[in-house]
Amino acid sequence: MNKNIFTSSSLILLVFSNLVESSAQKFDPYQLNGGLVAAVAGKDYVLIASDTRLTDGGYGINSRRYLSGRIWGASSSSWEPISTLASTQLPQSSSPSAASASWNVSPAKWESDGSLAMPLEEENGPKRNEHESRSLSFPWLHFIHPPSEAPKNSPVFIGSAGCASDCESLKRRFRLELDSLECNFPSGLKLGVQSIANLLQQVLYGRRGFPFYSFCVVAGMDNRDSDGSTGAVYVYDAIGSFERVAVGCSGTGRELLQPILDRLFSESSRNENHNHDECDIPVAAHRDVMSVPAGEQRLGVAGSLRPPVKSFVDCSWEEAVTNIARGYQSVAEREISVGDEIVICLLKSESDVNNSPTLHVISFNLKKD
Amino acid sequence: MASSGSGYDLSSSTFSPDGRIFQIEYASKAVENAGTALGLRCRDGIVLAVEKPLQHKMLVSKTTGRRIHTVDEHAGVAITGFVSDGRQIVGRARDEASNYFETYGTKIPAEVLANRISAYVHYFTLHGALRPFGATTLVAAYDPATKEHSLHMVEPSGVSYEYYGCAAGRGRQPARTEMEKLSINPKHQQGGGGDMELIDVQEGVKQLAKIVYTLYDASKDKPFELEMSWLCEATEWKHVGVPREFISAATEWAKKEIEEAEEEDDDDEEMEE
Amino acid sequence: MSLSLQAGGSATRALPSAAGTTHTTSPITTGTSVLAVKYRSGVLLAADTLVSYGSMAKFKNARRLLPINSRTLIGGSGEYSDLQSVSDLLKRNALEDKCTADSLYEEENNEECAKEVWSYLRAVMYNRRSKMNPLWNDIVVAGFKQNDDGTTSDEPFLGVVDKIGTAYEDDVLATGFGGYIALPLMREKYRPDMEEGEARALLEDCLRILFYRDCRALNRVQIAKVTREGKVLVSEPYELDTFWDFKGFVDTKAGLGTDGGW
Repeated sequence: MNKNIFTSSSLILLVFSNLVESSAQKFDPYQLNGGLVAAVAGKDYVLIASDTRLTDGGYGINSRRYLSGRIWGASSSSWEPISTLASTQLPQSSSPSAASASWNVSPAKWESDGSLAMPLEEENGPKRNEHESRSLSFPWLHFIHPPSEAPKNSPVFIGSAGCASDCESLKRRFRLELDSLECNFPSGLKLGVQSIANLLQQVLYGRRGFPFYSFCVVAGMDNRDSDGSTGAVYVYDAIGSFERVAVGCSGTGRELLQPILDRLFSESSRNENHNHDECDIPVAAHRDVMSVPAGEQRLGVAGSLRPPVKSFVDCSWEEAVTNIARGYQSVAEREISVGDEIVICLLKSESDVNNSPTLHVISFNLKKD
Repeated sequence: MASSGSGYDLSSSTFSPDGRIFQIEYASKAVENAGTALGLRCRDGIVLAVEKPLQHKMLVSKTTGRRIHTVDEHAGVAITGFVSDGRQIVGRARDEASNYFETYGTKIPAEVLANRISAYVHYFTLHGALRPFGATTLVAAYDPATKEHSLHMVEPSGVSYEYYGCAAGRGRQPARTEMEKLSINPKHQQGGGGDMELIDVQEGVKQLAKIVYTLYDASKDKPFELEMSWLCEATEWKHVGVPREFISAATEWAKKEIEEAEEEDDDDEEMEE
Repeated sequence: MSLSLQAGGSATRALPSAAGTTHTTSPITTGTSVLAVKYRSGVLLAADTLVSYGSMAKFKNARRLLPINSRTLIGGSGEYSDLQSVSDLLKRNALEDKCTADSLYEEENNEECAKEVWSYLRAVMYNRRSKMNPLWNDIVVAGFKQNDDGTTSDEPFLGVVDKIGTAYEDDVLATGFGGYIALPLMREKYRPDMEEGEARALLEDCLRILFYRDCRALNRVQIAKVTREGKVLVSEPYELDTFWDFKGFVDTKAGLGTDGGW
């Protein structure tokens, strides 16, 4: 009996203290608004992708077409190349198949604040259909060459997801920082992707005590190699830890997407290196395909080694786009914060036309539920 | 300078033995040499006009060096003297107007605005470390609460009075004489018809233009731009610029009037001969 | 200069001492949903006129749709005092813009367009949240974008900012409870070429549904619009018709031969 009284009174106490606790709402300056960004570095291209769902941090969907804080150009708003690049076209094939109807390809448009504009559905173009988008096969696309006077500097992109207000502020802070830096440069000189990557680390770490909940990827062309430029991708945590990778993703659902992409791209590089007949061999027993064997790490100069993992994938950009699309579709099946639409921004260096890059935006529908 | 204060003019914190503060008088002198500013209270509003001398031929005059400023929707000021000093006063006037509205929820009354400006200007005549403002401010304002409009002038000494017509700057004396002829201070004071006997703003614009051009001597004086604004029934009591076409029409009219008057004078002289 | 600022007038005011400062950690007097939708010739906003004090219907004629300047409109939910101070701030900025414009002539002035107001508001809200002293509102900003030369463009603008500074644009928006109840309905019915009457009917239907289902909503509402011609119009509060004559509401179970009650 006594014991009963004791337990019931302690139960009441517990309930009461819970009530007190919950009634004294504490202001939470953070909100996780969803969003999943990913990037792939290829031999002669780099791509960055994001979904366009903005959640209210719970079950509510604030917007189905949010992109302004997700993919943005890491450069001053007055940077010409972006608008020049935007004028190039990536038209759809003259023989449209049923599958390609679910794709929307458009030239890149930029907002005045440097963010990628939401691609608009072309009025007389194929109507994008969410059911079609679930069965995905790659649409046959081909490039039109860019104007020959296209600029040498290729843009660097940052993708950010997490707390949308922090991402937006990070965007403004970062671009301000970069503007003031580049103003002091000899005219025309722009920071390379590796410098941008380092600067982002500085900006993120600058708020170590009250972090930006922004989970970022950086994508750009690395021009340091003498034999043309290669794609470069960096992935970050909220406080600035980062590393260079071949395939990286960040944001809500990254735990789901990363292994899928790893698997898809390892398959792709295997297909490139080996005979298609060998495709059926299970690869589970293999080592990480991204790793470079010790013997191949040596550069020849004493003491200098190549990185132990590959910093770009071997597959074609077409395959990379398809892999990213498949990955996002898989994640959208299980993660409620990911969905609505995926926008892929593809930067491709054209070796035959002055090494100048082309830029295209590809989008298609994800699950809307 | 004969009237200079032999040691008593170094600071506005010191009186001279005969009770003058020379720094303030010097500040007034600075205004006396500047372009003429005029303000006229009319039956249905206030008109402000400033003669803005164009110091350089290459000046872009329409947008730079403005002398008339809006302080609040219902209040405007014209400044003359050191324009940069004047702008300081304008800035303060805006703060006062905005702060009054924030605190009391009603637009600042003309009287209060003029008093706040004069308190600010006066403060700069009290300290040895400060220099008085070399600018005079004409304040035109409408009080939405009492539905009355009024015109005040704040001088470098910090003194402020309400006027039917007032003038500051180079041509202030003849301008005042001319304005008195407009019967702008009518039988009001003798218990007459009050404001109803005043001219309206349309007429006011023409008359002010005429005064400015009467005082102007093209052979002696620098070219100038005539800046005019009004605050009247027709503008819903908002302080806005007088439309440019209207200013040029008034100018044309004024020039013609002056010419005709001169011809008449010539005729008179001939008759006398 | 600090000396002179203390002089004469009252441009500086005493601030409460920092020691006694408390921050808003939960809202006290609150307004519920704001609904907004773009239509053929502009943007339409709708909100009811109730401000609640907890569960008490405190003010029944409070206006939550407020014009900021001659081409921008805001609508706010959340803490009403914060909304008033935001509106004061924006109006003060608009007046200052007008007063400090390059020209005395109205037609040459460029007031802030809706997108600028929205962007500014985002910064204000984000700064306040970063000081852990938020303005407890979701604020919808409606109007038009502007061309590079500052003239109003043909493209309508509709954006929202919340209390932590999350800012986004969309064709349809709803804050508060409306985000759960009205937004899906509005998304379904929305077309970019809706006529004003159609858009207005949609908003009124949604307000009515909110009145039925949101305990902090009222059927006394206001509608406001920004049109392409650059007009900002806010209606006077008016009441929506409601229907309560369902049989189950009117007839008690007593009438059906039971022992009474509903």
